[in-house]
Amino acid sequence: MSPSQLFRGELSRTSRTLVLVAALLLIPSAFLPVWNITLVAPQYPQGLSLAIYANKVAGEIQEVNILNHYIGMKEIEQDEFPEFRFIPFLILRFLALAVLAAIVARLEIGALGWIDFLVFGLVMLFDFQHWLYEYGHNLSPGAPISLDPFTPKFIGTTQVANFTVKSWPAAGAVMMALAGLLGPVALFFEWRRRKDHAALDQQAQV
Amino acid sequence: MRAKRAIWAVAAFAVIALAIAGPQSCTRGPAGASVGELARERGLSEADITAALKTYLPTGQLDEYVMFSSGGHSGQVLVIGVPSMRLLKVIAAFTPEPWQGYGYGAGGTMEALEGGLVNGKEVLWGDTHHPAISETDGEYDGQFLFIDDKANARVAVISLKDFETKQVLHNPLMGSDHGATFVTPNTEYVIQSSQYAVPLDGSYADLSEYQERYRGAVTFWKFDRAAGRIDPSRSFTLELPPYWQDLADAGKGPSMGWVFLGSFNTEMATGGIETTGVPFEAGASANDMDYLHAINWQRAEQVYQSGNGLRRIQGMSVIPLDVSISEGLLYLIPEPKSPHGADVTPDGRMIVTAGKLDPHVSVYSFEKIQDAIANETFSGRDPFGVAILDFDAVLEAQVELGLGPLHTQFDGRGGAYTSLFIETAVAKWSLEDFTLKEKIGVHYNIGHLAAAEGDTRTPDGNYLVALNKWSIDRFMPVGPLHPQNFQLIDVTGEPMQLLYDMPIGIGEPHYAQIIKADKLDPWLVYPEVGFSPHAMASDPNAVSSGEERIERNGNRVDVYMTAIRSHFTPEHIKVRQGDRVRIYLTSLETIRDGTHGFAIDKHNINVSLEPGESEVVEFVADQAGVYPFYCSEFCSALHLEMVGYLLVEP
Repeated sequence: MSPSQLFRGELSRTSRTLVLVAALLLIPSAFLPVWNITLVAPQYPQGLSLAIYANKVAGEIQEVNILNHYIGMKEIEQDEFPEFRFIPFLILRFLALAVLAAIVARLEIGALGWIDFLVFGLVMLFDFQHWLYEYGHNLSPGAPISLDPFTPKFIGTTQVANFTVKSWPAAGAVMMALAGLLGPVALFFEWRRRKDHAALDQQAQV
Repeated sequence: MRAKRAIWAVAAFAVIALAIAGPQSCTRGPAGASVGELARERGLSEADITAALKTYLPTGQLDEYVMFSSGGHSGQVLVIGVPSMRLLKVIAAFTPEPWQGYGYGAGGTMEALEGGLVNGKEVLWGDTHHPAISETDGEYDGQFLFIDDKANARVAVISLKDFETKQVLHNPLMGSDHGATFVTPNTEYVIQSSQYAVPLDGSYADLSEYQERYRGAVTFWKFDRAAGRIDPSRSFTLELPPYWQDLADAGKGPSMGWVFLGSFNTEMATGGIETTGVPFEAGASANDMDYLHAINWQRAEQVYQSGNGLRRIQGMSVIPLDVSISEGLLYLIPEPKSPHGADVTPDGRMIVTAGKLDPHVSVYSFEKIQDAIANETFSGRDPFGVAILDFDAVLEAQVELGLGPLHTQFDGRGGAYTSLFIETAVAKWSLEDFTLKEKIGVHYNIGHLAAAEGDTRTPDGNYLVALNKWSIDRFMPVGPLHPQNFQLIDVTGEPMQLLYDMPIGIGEPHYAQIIKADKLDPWLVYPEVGFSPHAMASDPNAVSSGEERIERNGNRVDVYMTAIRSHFTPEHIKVRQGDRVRIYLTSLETIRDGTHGFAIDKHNINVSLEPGESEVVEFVADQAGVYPFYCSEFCSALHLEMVGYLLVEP
């Protein structure tokens, strides 16, 4: 089956529903924390948590900044991250593309949105890793406690001085991943359906 | 059928086997020795081991109850976990306390202590006697705590949000108090009654004029719950005969609206052993009977509000004795000699008094008291014209308990517990059949006792603490001034079991109250950054990061300072000799235990700045020189570096 065959005709009802579900999944992901970073030390038995949302960092930022200033780490401030200003709009864009794909029932639009979303996800992961590197390496030389530069893992557990830093995707990221997964699923359905159609067409021609 | 029974038998056997093998297999502790070996080595009996198991709390586990105890002469309140009997906190009330920064410069604490000035004089000790937890519908509500200072007739109000004293009041009508503090069932009023009679107007009167000029008094301090303060302008006092009024308790349920107040020295002895040869101790205990005072406080409130016959004495509204008599506010009830307790039963139907020089407790029926008042079943009137109810007409029962009964608490199952001072024991008796059930010896010379929620409408009936005056041989000798001994007793079953001895190394505590821990809801940090514990609201003078500054106005210097780990901002304060310096301090901390201190060398200033707290210190920089100021709390790894300089230019 050629790509032109794949893109021919309208999306099936199933695929449109799947694309719409993906769009719906994106809505809560804009309001739920995407990533959680928890710092645990003996005197913080409950841990200090930072929650990264699409548009902000929340949680015990002041306490984390107080601790970080001892090792000369830059303060975590919302304005430091230009990403927060446009991520919500990007999510809105994916949502719009998905809804549009479902309405006009065009696979191209769906595919465009999905690739767009995938690229965004990967770029954001790299971006996140970049920030973790930046914060762990840009340590002020005048800090009271000098520490070798470090990079916390963006996923997993890292030991930094007396803290165990745990970084894990949160509900928002799970929603996004599910939405992202629905793309290939829809594509699979379309591919199978169209292959069957193509076969029927061929038979009819014969 | 048989097979089924066999399976059950096997299963039961397995359970028994597990029960036997289980404990044995885990009795070996981490240190190596088994529980049995340890007990033998330390000479512990099975009762000792059960007592240990009932009181021991592993690290991180919390107590089921919190006991607020008077701190005696320390002028403080002790906060103790029950059943572990661990000291959790000391709340400063009448006396400066450095760690809490109470009375060392912090504005709010200075203001509280100023409220306790006695005729303009600083009195920096207090003989704290009876704490009272605020109540709603006759149950502890865990919001406020009151405590009195017997020596100077003062009352302190403590918030149980931050466990800090908010207000101290001096009662100008009294020389000393004793029936304080007790609250009415909804904390409408905090009750304070005098002990040793003096002239109410504070003037001089010779002891030869004792009956004419000396008077007792009971003050009903109006508590304003929303403000968290006593409102003296809405409080009133009843003038009482110059007997020495003692412990009080407010009626509840059917006896709501009344308060009962014991008394002694109804002989009105004036002592003078050196001339009369009759010391107070003999003169004041000559009669076989003293008087329990029954006071209708709700009607007294109406009389006060009507303003009829009121007198203003030393700024206080006083209902004179003759008005109390004519309005039916006050009646006397004979009670066996030298009593020390007047305790209303949980159902509010009976009042128990204990005459410490009589082996009985006397139980009065509130209903019979009301009938006797209605039918004027009086046995006479006292020299001041107060009606004395007929003893037999109002008595429900007398129970012979032993020597020196003092104070009674309840278990909510019809059981009553009375301390026996002379016998140094606790007697358990029944409110149902008025018989003595059992006694347990305590060590030694018990004064008050406190049962878990034991003076509320629904006592819990599990723990009881004996507040013993002497400890003799119970603790390691530490010189002639011995610790007192708080003994925890399990009263869940019979016999009562002594569980634990807690030495009290400060003051001479009198009474304590025990509240279920889950009724308390204290703040872990202040509710917001820049919160004034004195105003219990956001402080307009608090500053946030970046707003710190120093402002000069003539010879007044205002410093707006923040504290956060591990620095003050600003760190340099330069003033001129003679300047009046005011430092507004704001803690920017938001986490538990993130407390800073603010101490200025050689200025008697030490402030405790708890997370979020805002405080002000004011002083005159009267000596030129260089004065480091520093964080007096080990706040962080850079605590020693949390410092600044106050530079006073000549």
